[in-house]
Amino acid sequence: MNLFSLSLAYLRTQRLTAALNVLLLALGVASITVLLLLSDQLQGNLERDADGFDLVVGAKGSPVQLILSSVYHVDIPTGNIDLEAARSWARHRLVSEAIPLALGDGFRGFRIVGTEHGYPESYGAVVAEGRLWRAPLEAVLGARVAQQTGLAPGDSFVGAHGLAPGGHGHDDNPYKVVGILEPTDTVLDRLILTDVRSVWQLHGTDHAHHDEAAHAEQGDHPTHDDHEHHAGHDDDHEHHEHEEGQDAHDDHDHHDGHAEHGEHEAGHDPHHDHGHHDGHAERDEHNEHGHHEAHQAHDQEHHEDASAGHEHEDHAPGAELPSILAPEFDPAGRQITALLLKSDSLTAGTTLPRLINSASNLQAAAPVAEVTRLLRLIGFGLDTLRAFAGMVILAAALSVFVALYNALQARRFDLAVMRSLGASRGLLLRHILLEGQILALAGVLLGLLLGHLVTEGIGLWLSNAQLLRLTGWTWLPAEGYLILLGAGVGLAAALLPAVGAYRADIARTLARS
Amino acid sequence: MLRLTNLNHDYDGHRVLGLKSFTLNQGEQALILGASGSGKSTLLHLAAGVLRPSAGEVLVCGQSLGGLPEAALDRFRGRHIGLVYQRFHLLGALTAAANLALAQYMAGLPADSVAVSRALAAVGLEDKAQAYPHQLSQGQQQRVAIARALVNGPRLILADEPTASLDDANAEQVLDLLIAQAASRDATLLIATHDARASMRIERCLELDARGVPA
Repeated sequence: MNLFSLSLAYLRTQRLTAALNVLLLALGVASITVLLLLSDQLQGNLERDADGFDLVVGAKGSPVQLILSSVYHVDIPTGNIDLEAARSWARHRLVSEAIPLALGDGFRGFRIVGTEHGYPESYGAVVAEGRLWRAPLEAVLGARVAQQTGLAPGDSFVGAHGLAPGGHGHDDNPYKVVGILEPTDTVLDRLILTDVRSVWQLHGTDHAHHDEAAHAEQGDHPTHDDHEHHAGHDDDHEHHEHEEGQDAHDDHDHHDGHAEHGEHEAGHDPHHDHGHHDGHAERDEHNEHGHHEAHQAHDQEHHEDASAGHEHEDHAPGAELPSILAPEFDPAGRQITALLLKSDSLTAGTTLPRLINSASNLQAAAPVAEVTRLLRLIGFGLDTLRAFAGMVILAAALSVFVALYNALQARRFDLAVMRSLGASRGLLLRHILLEGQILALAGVLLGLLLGHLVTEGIGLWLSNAQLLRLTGWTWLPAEGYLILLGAGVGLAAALLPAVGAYRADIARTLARS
Repeated sequence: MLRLTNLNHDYDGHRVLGLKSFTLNQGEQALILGASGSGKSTLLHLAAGVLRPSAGEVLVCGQSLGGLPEAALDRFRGRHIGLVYQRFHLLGALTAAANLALAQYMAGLPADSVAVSRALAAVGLEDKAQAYPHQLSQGQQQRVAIARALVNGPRLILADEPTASLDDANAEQVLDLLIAQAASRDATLLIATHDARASMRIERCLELDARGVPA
């Protein structure tokens, strides 16, 4: 016999009341636990995904949308931007690294991202199997993509038009899986990475000249009308299809005819450009119409007598395709979805966006600022929920108090008998306080367990929705405070009844028997 | 040994007990008789140290209860004085054996299951050790209460109307147990009662009148 088993024995006689109190407290604690885990992991996720990227440059529109679409890959992009315009910013002196992104297709709900090797490298990604892409239509899968699709290096898959599953497919141009990444616990895990040129190739935007026939009828200039063309077609498309290249082509058919051609071109363009540029080194970058036309002509000509020697296999094994941001690459008529910029300058986050937003028809947004803005909005919601959870805990404390207070009335004689058996006032005080602590501790522990289970459940549920990586199997230091909070609730609820037991007049109680 | 000297107790400004001198030698047995409200319970509570007198001294086994601080008094009572009440004596949340173990714990004594079994055997209820009070008859409950009063080997046993809620057969048995167990342990026994059956068993008698003064 000791105080603990005595308190436990009394709680057993009040099973239902005790269980209800524990449950009430557990619900409050579970709510707070879920909120803690949720906000911590949400913030962690958002910050990890945006880590390292100081600025995102994309089409004008909502900056939050730009960040959501280009950094977190949850929203639809704001539109496309001309590579030429984007590229001038990539070379800005404040920019230390620039990574292009071309979005537009998906596979079973996973986004296919046309980019460069710098993108996975930014996340410190390690190749688990195979290698990174070295040619268009080679794809590298994020860990989750590989796990959920079951694709392995050597397999092929067909990207679907649009980011939502079920779009019409590019059946004639399957991607070939060449590598799988280790899990990074970032957005990378649910992306399919490939070269920008793959996206261009599938959507035909690098063949402005192929549209000549179609556009000639409209009297458009074939080579530098992409923007107008894009705008002109906006009305014809679902909003979510305003992605790279999708402006183009309900009449996708031109693809089929030129698929092979496209492959060639994407493969050897850089070489070609290189030579070409040597001859025009002094040319003003922004005055390229003539050059462009010449180039297009050259290009086409070149293709006419395309030789096998210009296949993409020409590249040294293991080498990445030349960057589309390099000066040697001809940007004319090409578009990307966004440009991720890194900077060594501390002021770049404020200076560059102002510069970009005012000096061009592009939009620049800083992920850190937008995430902070987003979290502030979410934080307000979380605070409200936390206040509700706090009220549940308060209600639990009141309920424990009422239960102990009622028990005290019913147990006055028992307490007097304990005194007559030799118990001191202090022992009775501790006895009642202990009962409150047992209830509180049981409530907190059950609440923590419940909170972690619910969080894990939400995580599993969200993993299907691919929005947020969430796990219940992690422990936060703040939860230690929850245990303290529970102990405080138990103490506060039991204090008055305990003092009542301490001060009880046993002789009068016994005399009333 | 119990010695009460010049013991007065006032309650709400009224004298409820006035006792010049009363002494019981070790092992001696006595009754306190009187109508209800005559101060019988008050006298027992003063003797047990549950109540502090307005004036006078209580000496139990040579220890003046008035000289003990409260916690020490509680402990002294737990170890040396066994109390039996009319009813509500057992803790309903605990088994019979646990009620006895509680007495050991509350008195600050080590747990001793042998002493528990022996005390239950002494009142003939060793087979009811694991029974809860509500599973026992009133007579059995009172016998468990006696066992609990005995378990720590008290020098003084105080019983307040121990037979008042029992039928004749049970009252007889309870009285027999108290007298026999006190005698076999050489414990001093003081029973407050208005039960005429008791006065046929115990000779020494302190009769209080309505003012709490020996008649």
